[in-house]
Amino acid sequence: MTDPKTLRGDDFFDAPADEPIRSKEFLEKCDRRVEVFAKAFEEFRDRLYARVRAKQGGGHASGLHLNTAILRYAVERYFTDIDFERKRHRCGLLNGYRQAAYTLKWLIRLRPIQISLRHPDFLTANEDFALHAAITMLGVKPEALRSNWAYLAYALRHGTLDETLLMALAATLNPELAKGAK
Amino acid sequence: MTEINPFPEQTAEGLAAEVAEVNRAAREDQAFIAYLTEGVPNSSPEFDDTGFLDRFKTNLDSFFDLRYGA
Repeated sequence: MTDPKTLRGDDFFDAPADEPIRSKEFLEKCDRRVEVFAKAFEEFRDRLYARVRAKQGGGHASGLHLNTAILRYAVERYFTDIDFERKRHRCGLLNGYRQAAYTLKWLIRLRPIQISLRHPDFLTANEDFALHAAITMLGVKPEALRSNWAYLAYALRHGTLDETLLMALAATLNPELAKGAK
Repeated sequence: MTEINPFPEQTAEGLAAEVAEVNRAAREDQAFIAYLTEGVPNSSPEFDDTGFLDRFKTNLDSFFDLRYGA
């Protein structure tokens, strides 16, 4: 029997004792995800600017910036959580609704989009971006949120970001992903 | 000293039924907690970066319509 004094936290989850937390693979998958989110942000920003310009009848729109250092940290925290969950559940992959829940959690908690212009359409840019990324991961259309968007955004902005509740929310949006869960 | 029965109407059968009901509710709670925390099958595919970006762009306009009005 293992001496309890020599146990480390990871030993409870069958992690290899010599596995570094920030392995090369870990850093590479973080790089890839940051790149994907940065491209997604550019599209998000340009379309939002286009809307603002259309609303004000032309002119210039600016004020949204992606802080890649914060995004990088959010992605690292996301994968740390995901890897921990995988060990905890002893599985190779996590269901999509769990991935969506952790994406929501870290993008909203760390807020990588910075707003330099006080425009009403920009104020919830982080919540909008995170929600859209999450429902895209869930594979559901935005219409699934219907008129509940404002309530959801309010809850995400002011409420407690509890992983289990976010997972329940994600599983409710796409029950197919949670099908077969015991 | 006379023992006072706080539930004079409670019969042995009634008590047994109540205990069974509490046990059933506890089992349901455990099943629900297990649903949320354990035993989730690993059926999701790997995250698909290209697919994600395409879907993100495709649905962005309808998301903004929903958010800011068409």
